[in-house]
Order: sequence, then C-alpha cells, then structure tokens
Amino acid sequence: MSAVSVRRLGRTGLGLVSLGLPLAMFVLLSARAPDFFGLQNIANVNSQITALLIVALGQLVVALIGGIDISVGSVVSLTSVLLVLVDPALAVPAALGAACAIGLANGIGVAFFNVHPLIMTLATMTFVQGLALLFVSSAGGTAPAAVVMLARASFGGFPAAFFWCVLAIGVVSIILYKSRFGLRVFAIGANAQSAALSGAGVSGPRIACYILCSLAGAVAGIYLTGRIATGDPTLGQAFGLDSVTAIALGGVQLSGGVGSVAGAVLGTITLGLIANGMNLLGVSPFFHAVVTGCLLLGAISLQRRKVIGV
Amino acid sequence: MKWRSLLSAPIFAGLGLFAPHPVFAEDVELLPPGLMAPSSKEMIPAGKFKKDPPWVIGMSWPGVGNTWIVQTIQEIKYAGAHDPNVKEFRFVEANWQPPKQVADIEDLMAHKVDALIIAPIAVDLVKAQVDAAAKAGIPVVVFSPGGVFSNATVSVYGGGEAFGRTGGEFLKDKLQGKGTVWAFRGVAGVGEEVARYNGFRDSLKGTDIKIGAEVYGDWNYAKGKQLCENLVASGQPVDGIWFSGADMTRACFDVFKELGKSLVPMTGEANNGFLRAWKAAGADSVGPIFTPGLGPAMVRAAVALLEGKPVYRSYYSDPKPITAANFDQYYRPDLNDAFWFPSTLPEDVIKETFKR
Repeated sequence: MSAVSVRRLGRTGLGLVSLGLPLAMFVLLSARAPDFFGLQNIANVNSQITALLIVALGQLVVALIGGIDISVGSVVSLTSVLLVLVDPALAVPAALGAACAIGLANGIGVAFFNVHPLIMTLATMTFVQGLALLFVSSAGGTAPAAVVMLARASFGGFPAAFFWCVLAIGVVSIILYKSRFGLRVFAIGANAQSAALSGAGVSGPRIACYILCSLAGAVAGIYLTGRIATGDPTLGQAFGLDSVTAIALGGVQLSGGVGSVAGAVLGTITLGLIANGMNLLGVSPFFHAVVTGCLLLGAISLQRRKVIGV
Repeated sequence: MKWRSLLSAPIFAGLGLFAPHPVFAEDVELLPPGLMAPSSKEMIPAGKFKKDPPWVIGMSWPGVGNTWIVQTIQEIKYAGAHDPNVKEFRFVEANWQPPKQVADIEDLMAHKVDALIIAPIAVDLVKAQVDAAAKAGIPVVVFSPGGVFSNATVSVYGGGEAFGRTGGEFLKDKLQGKGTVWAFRGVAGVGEEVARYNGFRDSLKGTDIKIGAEVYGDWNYAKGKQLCENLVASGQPVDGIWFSGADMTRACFDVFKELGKSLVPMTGEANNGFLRAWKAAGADSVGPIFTPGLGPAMVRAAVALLEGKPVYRSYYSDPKPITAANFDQYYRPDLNDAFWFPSTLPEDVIKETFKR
C-alpha cells in the first residue's frame, strides 16, 4: 500500500474497532437470534437506523471541523411539530427554513463569537426544544400525506428507508469528497490556522457545516414524522448524543480532520444492531445502555488519536 | 357467546360509552371490582384470537424513572411468569424515546409474538404499529388515556384526566371555589402528564380559583423541592397546590416545614412514602389512585384473548381516592416508601420486596 493510501485511510479514522464491531454484532446475531435474518427484521433495522444515520452524517460534517452539535435532536423535534402545525404545502419548506436558521445561529456563535460549540449548541438545544413543547405539549396531529408516503412506501421491493439512506449517504459523500467545500472542511478540521494561512476561508465553511447538520436534523425529522404519521415535540431528544456516539464508534475524531462517511454509517449500524439484537435476544432492556456505554468506552480507548497535517 | 351480546345490548343502551358497565359473573376480571370495570359495551367475540398454548407475549414499555414504574414492571413480569401457558414474556423498554418505542414494537412483531401489549409514551405515536399488528391478526392491548384507541383490540385506561380531576376537586372543595393555586406538573411532552393536567384544569372551570404558578417538576423529589423553594421564596400567594405526582408533594411538605410556613392543602397520590409524609406532616391532602395493577390487567387481557374468552373493548380504572377518612385502610407502616396501592402481588411477595 502506498504512503498516500495509508495517509488517506488514516484520515478516515476507520480501524479495527469501527470495522470489527458491526461485523461482530452481525455474526453474533446471525448465530443467536433466529429471527435476525427474517425479511421483516432486516427491513425493520433499515427503517430504525435511517433517521439516526441521517443525523449522524450531519454530525460527521460538524465533527470534521472539530465541532459538535447537540442541538440537532431538538431540530428533529421542532421539524416534527412544524410538519403537523403548518399548512401541508408549506410544512417541509418551513421545517427546512427553521433548520437553516438554527444552523446559522449555531455557526455564527461558534465562528464569529468564539463560543464553544458544546455551549452554543446546548443553548440552542434547550431553546429549540422549549419552542417545540410550546407549540405542541404532547404527541398529536397528522403528518402531511406526502411525507407519510415518502417514509413508508416501498419501491421495487425495497422499503423507502433504503432510498433515504442511499440518498443521504450520496449527498454527504459528494459534499465531502467531490467538492472544494469538502476539501476545506478536512483542512480546517486538521489545522484551522494552517488552512487560513493557505488562503482557505475558515468562518464561512464552519457556518455552512452547522447549517448542514441542522438540515440533516430536519430531513431526519421529516422521515421520522412520516414513519409515525404524527408530530411529537420530544421525537428527537436522544439524537443529539446518539449521533455523537454513532460517529465516535465509526472512528470519527471529535478533535476534527479525521472521519468518513463510511465510519458514520458503520457506527450507526452498530448502534442499530445493538438495539435490535437486545430485543431479539430478549436481553433486559436496562442492559442496553450499559452495553452501549461500554462499547463506546472500549471503542474510543482502542482507537489511537491521529493528528493530520503534522 | 353472541347470545350474551344480544342480551346485554338493551342494558347497555342507556349508559354512556365510557361509563363503567355492570360486570357479568362470567366476565373476565382484569382487576377486582372497584378498581377496574368495563367501559365499553362492545366486546371482542369469543374465540376471535384463540390460540393453542404455549404463547409468546410481547410488551413495549415507555421507560423507567420512578418507583411506580418499577413496581408496575415487577407486577407485569410476575403476572407473565406465573401463567403456565405463557412460554415467553418478552419485555422491552424505550427509555422515553419515541423512535425507540416504535422500533421496539417492530422488533416484537418480528419475533412473532402471539399477543402484543403496549404502554405508549403517547398513543398517537404507536398508531401505525398498532394498525400493522391488527392487520397481521395479532391481538393488541394498549394503555390508552383517552379510552378506546384506534385499532387496538382492547384498550385499558386509568389515571390521566381522572387523576388530575380528583386533585382539582379536592382543592376546589378545600378552597370553597376561590383562591390561588400552584400547579406542579410532571415531565413535559408525556401524554399521561398532559391528561392529568387537563383533568385538573377541567375541574377548576366555573370557579374563582386561579393558577398562580405552573412549573414542571419532572415527577421528581429533588427538582420539585428546588422549584417549591423558589416559589415560596418569591412570596407569591398560595392557597393550595396541585401535584401531578406525590414525590413533588413530599418535597413541598419538606420545604414548607424547613421555611416555617404553614401547610396549605396539597394533592398527592396512592404511594406509601407519600402517606407516611402526609401523616408525619399532619397535612390536608388526597391520594388519587393510579394502581400498578394496570400493568397486570393488560397481561390478563392479552391472556384472555389468546384463551378465546370474550373481552370488552375497553376497561377503565377510576377507584375512589385515599382520603383522611380511609387513610388507615391503605397506609402500611411496615412497608417502605416505594410501595404503591393497590398491588396485585401476593402478600408474601409484597412483604419480601417492600420491607422497610
């Protein structure tokens, strides 16, 4: 393998843990859970991980510049509420518009006012979650028919969730690997000062990353709301930290510059298989969080921190 | 059993849909009379879901977080484990995450359960999954604060608006229809919490009682105490306090005592720890009953459906609350604070599990 290839692989963050964990889960479940390979269960797992995958891809973009966005779960919740409150014809544009505004606020706070991303997005998370609960106090309302159809239909024998995943992976891959913007994201994450000295604008891409992450939250919210066909002001509460867990399991380094779409996908699959496997194996539900925490700790401990651009 | 439906029709004709109906001797008893009664005249015909044992029953639970939930889960598992016809009782818990609950239900269906029991975070969330299960011919028992729910085979409900209304009526009576009350709510966004609050608000209609302050204490002692301290320190007037859960009431008892403020009427619930605090504080209170037996009642409904017995479409639990008059019938000084009334567990299990 050439030195360039090794360097590129290092930049993805993929390693033994991120590749081995989903594989180990897959083998374990194949051997121990007779229902695992059922067509219904495979479709279930696909539907169950779709929203988290979309959010994790958004989180990946932010993590690559050395940021974190824990407000993305609240964006999912607000999207769900807007979809049942706003006129069906305007619901999706309204949700995407709101997400852009939230991402812009996060980006400006981090890039221009130097607020720590954790604090900035914590503030936004609290504000947006409160807004969602202010609009609707509990689950209810009817999601637009088109949204429900897009989340639940099947095309050519494949569930809609499969196409949502393919589309999300495709779009984020093009942004990160086939555009100048993607190149800047990796450069800023590896060393923002070097990137700036090389003539790459830093603030603009940073803001754009937070907007992309919020948009990912909105898209996940649209998918989830369609899946349950109703609005819920707490729908996305877990996604903020779950998406961070997913990318961490996938080898993405929160310090920036190291990570890949494949890593985000593998991390999400690992989390999805843990949840599905626990249910299929009849393991106590209270054990789920323990296992997830241990795996995360193990995964991070076994992954060497990589420094890019030095 | 069609003959009984025909005979019962004229009897039910004059009764409201949600009013408890007279119980026939041969009816399936989900909980003892006084604790739960059928609330629908519609019945699931005998044999519709009959299946030869042994059965696999799946249950989706919203999340954990307080002693009521712990006891209810314990009673559910006890009911499932002690039925010889239940081969496997698969229990999953969603950690209060709506997407996880939807996923849990799908996983249970993939596991080919014979009957499905759902206690949803909010009923609208699981409508699509209930519809899917009904379409697949799986009997579904749902805990539904609003009565009969969509395509659920059997709906079981209790607490909710009735719980909130009981507390509101108590305050209305104590305040003689006028004054200022504070409202301590539970966890924002949870269907049961909203239903309790709605019941409380309804009970105040037509009175001169106004809600001076409204806070979310998350049904939690620590948070409730902090909020109560803030409200008392603010000097806002208060003539009574409505609580969505009694851990917050206990916290407020303590705050009033620590600050040397005279107690005002406060609502609680049917928990042994609360009754102990009520007695110790010499408070003026009421304990609406939200029995942990609702859990086993759902298990019994699922078993009855699989046995092919005729079951009513919905059941309602709205027992008389604990008051100063019947306090001694409930309070158990020999048990610890985590015990809730009334329980379906045998006395020896109660003594072993909840001993002080």
